[in-house]
Amino acid sequence: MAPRAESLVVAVDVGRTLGEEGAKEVLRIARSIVTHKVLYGGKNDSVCVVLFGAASTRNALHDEMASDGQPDQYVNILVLKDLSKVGSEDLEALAGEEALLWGGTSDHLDVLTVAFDVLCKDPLKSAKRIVVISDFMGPIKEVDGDFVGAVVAGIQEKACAVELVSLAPITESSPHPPETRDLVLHLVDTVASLECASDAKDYASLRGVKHPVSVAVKHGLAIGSFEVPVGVYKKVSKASMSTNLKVSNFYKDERGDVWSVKRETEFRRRDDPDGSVVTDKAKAFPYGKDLIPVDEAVTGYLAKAEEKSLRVLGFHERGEFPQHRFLGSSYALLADPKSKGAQLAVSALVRACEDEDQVMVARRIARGGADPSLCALVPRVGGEGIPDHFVMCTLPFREDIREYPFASLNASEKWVPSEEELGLAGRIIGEMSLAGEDGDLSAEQLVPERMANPSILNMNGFIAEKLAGAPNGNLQQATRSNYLKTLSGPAEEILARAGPHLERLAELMHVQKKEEGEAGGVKQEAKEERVKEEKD
Amino acid sequence: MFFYDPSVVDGTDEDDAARALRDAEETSCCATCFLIDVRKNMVSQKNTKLHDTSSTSSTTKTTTRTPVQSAVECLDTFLKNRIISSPNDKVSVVLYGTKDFKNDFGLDHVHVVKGLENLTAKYIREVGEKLRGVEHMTYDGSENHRGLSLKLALWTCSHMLKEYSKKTHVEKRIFIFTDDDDPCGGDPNLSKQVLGRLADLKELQVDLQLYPLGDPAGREFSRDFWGEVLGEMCETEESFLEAMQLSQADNFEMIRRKLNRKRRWLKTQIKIGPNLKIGVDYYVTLARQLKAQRSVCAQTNCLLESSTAYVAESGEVLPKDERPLKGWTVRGKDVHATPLEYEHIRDPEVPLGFNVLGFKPESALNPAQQVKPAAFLYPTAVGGCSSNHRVFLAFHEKMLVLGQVAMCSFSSSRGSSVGMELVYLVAQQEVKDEHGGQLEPPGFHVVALPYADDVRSPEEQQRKKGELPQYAGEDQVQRAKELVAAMKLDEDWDSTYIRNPALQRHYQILQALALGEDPTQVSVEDGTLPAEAVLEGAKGAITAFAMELPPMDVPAPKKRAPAAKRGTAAKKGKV
Repeated sequence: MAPRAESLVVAVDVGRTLGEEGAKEVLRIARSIVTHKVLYGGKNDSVCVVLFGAASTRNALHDEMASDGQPDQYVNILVLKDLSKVGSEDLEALAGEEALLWGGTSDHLDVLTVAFDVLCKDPLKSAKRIVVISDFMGPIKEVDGDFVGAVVAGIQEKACAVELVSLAPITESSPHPPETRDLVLHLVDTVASLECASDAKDYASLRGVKHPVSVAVKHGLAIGSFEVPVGVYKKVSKASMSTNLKVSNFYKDERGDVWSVKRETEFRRRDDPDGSVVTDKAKAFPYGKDLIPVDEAVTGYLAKAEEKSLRVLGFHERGEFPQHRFLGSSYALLADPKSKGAQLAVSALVRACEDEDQVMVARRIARGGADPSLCALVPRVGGEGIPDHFVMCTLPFREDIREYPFASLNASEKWVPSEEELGLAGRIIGEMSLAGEDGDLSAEQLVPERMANPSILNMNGFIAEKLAGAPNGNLQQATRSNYLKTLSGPAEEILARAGPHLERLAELMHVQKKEEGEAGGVKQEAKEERVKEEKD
Repeated sequence: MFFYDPSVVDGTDEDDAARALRDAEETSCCATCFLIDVRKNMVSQKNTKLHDTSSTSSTTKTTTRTPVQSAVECLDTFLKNRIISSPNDKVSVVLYGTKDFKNDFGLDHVHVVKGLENLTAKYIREVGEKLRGVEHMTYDGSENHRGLSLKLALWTCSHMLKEYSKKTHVEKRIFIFTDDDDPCGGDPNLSKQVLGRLADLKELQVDLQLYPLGDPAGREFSRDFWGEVLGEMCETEESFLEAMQLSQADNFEMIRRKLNRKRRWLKTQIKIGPNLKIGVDYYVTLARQLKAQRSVCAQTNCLLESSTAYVAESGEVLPKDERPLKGWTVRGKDVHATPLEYEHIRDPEVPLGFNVLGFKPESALNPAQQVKPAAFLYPTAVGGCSSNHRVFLAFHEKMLVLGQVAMCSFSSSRGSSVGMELVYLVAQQEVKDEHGGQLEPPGFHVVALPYADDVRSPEEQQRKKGELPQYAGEDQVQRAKELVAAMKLDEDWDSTYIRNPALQRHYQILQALALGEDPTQVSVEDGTLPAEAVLEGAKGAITAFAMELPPMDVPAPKKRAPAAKRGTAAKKGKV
């Protein structure tokens, strides 16, 4: 079944409480959301871009109210682009001059009403979503409880999703205007979700990330003759620029015209690289210096064709499976959601493994005809709607391990660090901690799965700029100065703490190098003298 | 490809540490001479004592084969392993104590079956054919030519290996298969000559290896002569034979796999703050071994090389030096990037090497958070300078003590297709066995982390649909615990002891095809299957667990349509 189309209204606050930096940041988040829609959204998805707190007004509700003699309703709300099929126009609208009409008064309830009105007038049968991006610092007019109730009821009736994105956390005690805060908290209680941009290192980058849906490969988890219906899903899989978006090749001629070109692979004899292209080729495998050609019949029995399966070998101590021994990408094993028995079976196994500190080991044939692999299934106890499941990691075979010997790190006395060096290393590790107090990981900074791939981010930004007709690098400037700087080294506050220790250690290292260099020089001189004496 | 350059650590004042480092390095290929004693006793003696390598415990079994048959079997295994693991190796096979002679120098009783040559299927076939009648190559009275034929055979080998004497990247080895523990028969002159020849070979940096076979004259194999030559220290006579055979076990165990010699993949640095830099070598120590497929010309079997051509719709081919524009078609509009712009997009331009962003507790490690096999870092040796090592070791030690991992961004080179990675550096403590053999080397594991783009959340799907998952009750968990206890794997179970059955089958069939044998007769032991004994022992626990749960149906696997049918369907679909 084709995925359902989505109609999205992105409402961006550019009111006077944000200031220039804040307005730039909310616009960057909005641009990222719209870019994601343009690049990765469905072909029938629609987007409407609305500014609120703008210096001018243009929206249908205001026009209707004005014609009814109430021109002061729904002011400072500017529909930059009407709801229509998503395309480069959305990006153009956000990069155009109208997007700079900042400094009006923001009313969050008004903009929510305008956005909902836009969606109500949408003739398309689609999923509806509103995203409101703001600092939520603008005071709103006195809220009419009935009116709010009507809006909320309407949103619920239409099954419209509402996302509120705040620049800073909103809590009962946060310094937001009381009416605005109460409205936000009421919406969160009834129809909306709330995200805080400051929770991620670069929230705008994160909103551009493509999230592919993981599809289950159904298996029967066999424990002897007993089978449990389960699904194996990809949990982690390396995305790249070309896996996200198809990259094509083009050629620009002298006249400046651009032509599409196809990439073709040609084969020539290795001993005659400039010779003619060989089209009649066969598959071969090296055996020493020989190449053994194989035809289809041989290919058939080169691999042993087995049916898809997942068979439990047994259980083993968890400590025997350090992470560096896993062969890359991981999977999730979940029970068949339609089978109560399967869910209970997987849940019981997960909890038993967790309690006993064990890992389940299984042999997997991923699909019919595939080679067998061994997997470690690490238990993950769920809760709050998340089912108990296993994380499945592939284990290496004997052939996959390269056992290289290395000298002991303390093989020479010269290699053993001094007490001062050890102390400095310890202090640097402490001062550069990315965890919270006492190693609390709930306050962890730089969480990899909350950070966007910078190459893909660059690609998305580049395409968005070209589609928006913005000057090169103009829109990506903030990403470069914020996010990419973060990845280049420790944050400034960390450097401020660890800086003196780092400097001292670097100094010690430099002094040693110098001393050893001098010692080497003396030895060299002595050697040269000896050679000279011998010659004489 | 980079080869390790020992001169990097061969400073003028090489100390023990530098020597240890250099000794630990391997070379890029091997030149191996097999010397097989074929004198009377080797071909007539039955009941050869062999160390049983198939068992994990150290046992010696007595076979019904003659020593020379055992030697030929070892040679056959070695050649068949080596042709796959190290196709660049050169091997020669020399028999000594033969009736006739075959060598370039007219030396008596030395028969060169094969000179130092690369391994090919033809080579293995020819050696196999020639050694089939090895029993008839000996002669009466050969036992009296003690020492002499060995001396001449060693001389022949030293000539073969001479051309590699100055090539430091070539490891030189001689394997001697004999049942003679006193090859010079107490003759001091001969003994001196043989020992002298062996010493010359050692000077040529030839690694001598002995594979003792059988019981000479019905007594235990003595260590007096060979022990002195090899410098082996064994406590008892019997343990000498066992120890020597055990030390050779890896060489003659039948496991077909590509052997990757130790080589640094990258020389780079760990940067902590603006001024502190630690030089490190980056090694790939874990990688899935794949079947190396090649394309050949169907007519001539010549190896083909692929190249990329860009062809316009008109059929015009772009000149080879012309780099095409890259582009994307988004919502019906084309966006183009020049090659330079594309490079800039791919490369986030963070400083090269490992840039430490901070440290986290080890508990931040998560098995689901890994995108590729881990690599390994070891400090770069810079001449006689030790400060690099000291700082590396300081952080290594402290991270182990404090239970911390370092989070870094890592860029291997400018314009790399991988781009920039996020990694954890995890300190690895050195682990040795009771004999001092290294089990785990000291250094840092590099665990590559996923970005938000790489992570999927299938466990959230149920919640998003509003379905409530089922959680097991105490009784069910208790039955599961009993099942876990009943199906515990052996304490020393390790997947890296198990051979990849698919790869072993592939190589065996390839070998059968190459050597003209019947590939349909190949059978491979599959160590990945569940042990019947374990399942039998856990039968009760499995049944009890199943009884505790509601019934469940496992859908029958869908049968795949035959390839031909699938092809037709696909084509129809496209039309």
